[in-house]
Amino acid sequence: MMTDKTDPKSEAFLDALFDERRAEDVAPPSDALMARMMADASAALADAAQVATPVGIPRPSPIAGLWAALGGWLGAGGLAAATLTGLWVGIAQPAALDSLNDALLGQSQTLTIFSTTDPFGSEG
Amino acid sequence: MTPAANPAFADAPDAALIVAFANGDTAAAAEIMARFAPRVLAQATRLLRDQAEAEDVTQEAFLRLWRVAPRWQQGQAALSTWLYQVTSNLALDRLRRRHRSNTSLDAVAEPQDDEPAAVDRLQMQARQEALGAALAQLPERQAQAVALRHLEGLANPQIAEIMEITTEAVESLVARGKRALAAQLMARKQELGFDDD
Repeated sequence: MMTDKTDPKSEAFLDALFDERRAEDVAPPSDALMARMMADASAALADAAQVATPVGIPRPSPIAGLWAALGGWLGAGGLAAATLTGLWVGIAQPAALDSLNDALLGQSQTLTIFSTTDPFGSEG
Repeated sequence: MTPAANPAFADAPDAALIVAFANGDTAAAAEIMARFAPRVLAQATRLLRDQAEAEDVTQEAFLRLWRVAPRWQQGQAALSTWLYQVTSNLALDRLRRRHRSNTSLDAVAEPQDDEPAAVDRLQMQARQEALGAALAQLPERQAQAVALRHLEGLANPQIAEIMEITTEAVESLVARGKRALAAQLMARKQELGFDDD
């Protein structure tokens, strides 16, 4: 079975090497290093601010903008229905309109304020 | 010029400082640096034994912190733990790169000077160079665990948190790492100035 222990001589030798390494002097951070790190911090903040207002994302096309303004598929459905209704009203026969009026408003009455035989009222 | 840390931040928790920095307060960054830069630099120096390289690692570790700050999660690893992890990775990376083209421990310079004090100093240099070269040749996780345990003097549960593994796994990594170090270095024990008794 493999043991996780190093033998005592090796252990002592390695401990001496590690102790020696830990005892070495370590200088504190210099002002120059701190200034470089602070410059990095300021630059990172500036970069983060740019990411908040992205410049690399493509703008939507005018057609896509119009589609969105119309309300997408839902808006387009309503628009299509209104268009077809208008088209039907435009090409439908008067009789059909009359029947629609009758259906919606009851019996229609026709009021004539000008004589059809004397449209200019020249006969008094 | 480095802005002074805001006295209002003196008692602020580390996580609050990160949030303040992410919201644009550079005085919070100054406070974070005042708290952690000495320790980060010391950790990098003990691994690399090279002031310029240790400063580069320190600057890089903090640069990563500044960049991750806006996405810092409340309740995630403590800043101290995160910095130990990042510094350890960065410094070991450099150590391994330094020794990649120089994989033989025999390549470590022999003492040349005959003055007793100078011999001691040069032997110490050679020993520590040999230790660095041997650490660089360990598998990465073993090297990280050994360095955190024996160069930083951290307890196994703390190392477990830094390395995101169990305490038992830390113990195993440290033990295997030390056996591998011993196998590399024991043959040169006398040459490196240790009596073979």
